[in-house]
Amino acid sequence: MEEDGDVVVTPGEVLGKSSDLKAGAGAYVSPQDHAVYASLTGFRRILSPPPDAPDQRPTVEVTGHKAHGPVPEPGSIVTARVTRVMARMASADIMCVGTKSVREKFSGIIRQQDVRATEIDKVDMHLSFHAGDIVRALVVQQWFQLVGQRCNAHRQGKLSKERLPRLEDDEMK
Amino acid sequence: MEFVNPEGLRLDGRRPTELRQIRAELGAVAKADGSAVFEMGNTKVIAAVYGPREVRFEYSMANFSTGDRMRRPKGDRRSTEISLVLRQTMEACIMTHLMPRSQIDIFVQVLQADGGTRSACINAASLALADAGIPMRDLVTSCSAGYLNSTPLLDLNYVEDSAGGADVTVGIFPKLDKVTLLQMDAKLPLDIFENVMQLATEGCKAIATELREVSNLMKEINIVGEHKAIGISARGIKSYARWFRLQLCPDCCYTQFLSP
Repeated sequence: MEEDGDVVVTPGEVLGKSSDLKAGAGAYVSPQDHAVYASLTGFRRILSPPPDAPDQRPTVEVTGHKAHGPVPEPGSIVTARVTRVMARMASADIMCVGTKSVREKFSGIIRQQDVRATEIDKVDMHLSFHAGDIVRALVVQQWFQLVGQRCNAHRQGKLSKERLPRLEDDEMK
Repeated sequence: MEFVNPEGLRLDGRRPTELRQIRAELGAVAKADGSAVFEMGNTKVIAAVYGPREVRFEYSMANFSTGDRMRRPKGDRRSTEISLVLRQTMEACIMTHLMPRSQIDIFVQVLQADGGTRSACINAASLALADAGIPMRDLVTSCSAGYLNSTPLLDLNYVEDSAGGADVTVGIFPKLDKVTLLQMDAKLPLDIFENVMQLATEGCKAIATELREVSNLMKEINIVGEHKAIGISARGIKSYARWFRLQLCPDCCYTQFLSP
């Protein structure tokens, strides 16, 4: 159950006490007075906790009018368009994170050793990718310098379900 | 020179504790993620916010640029100082830990200067940040107060500002009741300073209620726009909106700009 309020709040407005409410998106708890404040301009919504949750406080969140686009992060599945194919890597523009399209440009790199699980050194990037290919990929690492986002992509046809969890395991190490 | 006449009125006809007329407007810069125009009397400031966006390069641009249209060789001292003040004030209110490794650019331009420009800059930047949907602890507001003719005066204009008396600029988090900025460019006895600062704080709070109203109003307009975007007219939505942004579909990133 959720309460869809018509109450518009602005940053800094008190939404309640942290003993009664949990702060969701667009809200925060002040460490000084343990009150929940809004951090965005938007509608206040109060979400009831799931009945089996250990914490039975309802969550308050503020939904702003300008939702930011999704940002890829390690572990997210992205859809990307290959822009350039080189001998050892291909670069790609990320278009969607999960099912949501990105607002701004994020670029990624698919390395030769990340294309498939076996015989990773025998992958021929030019046989695997063409510029313009749409690939589904798992983001393995974020790189914040000249290359925006570093992603690890698999050709759509070659993506197997066993492969994805393994990559995540690798990433944990 | 007499800044408060025997009837207790100032040069521009205000009472000592009276603010100038405030006008604010959101979404004035179509390309920016958030923007605002803020006017206090004849002081007029426009602010535009871009971001949070990914930091793509090693070198970074100055987070703030202020000043007028004259090309200055390399930021004069005054605008460098104001930039720094603005930057520190805004950094204190933006919840930067939610946006690691991102950059937020705030551009503030003074269109008309009639005293209290740095207060107006802070108010405009605060509104623009709220418009951009950047998480903030509170809506920072700022106001100045001075002391002339043994009277504390709120919201000095240019003539009063250049009279040589003390000028106290205060920036606060109005709801959290915290001071983020306090500047004074003269000397004052402690008890008088406290009065003047108290007055400036009251001014900040008055401005805060005004800013919240503008912010709320724009929010409603935007929600209307989001649900039934096509064919909406801005008429009847007061005079705050000159341009406003319509978002047709959050996923297709298509935005349209209408003018009333």
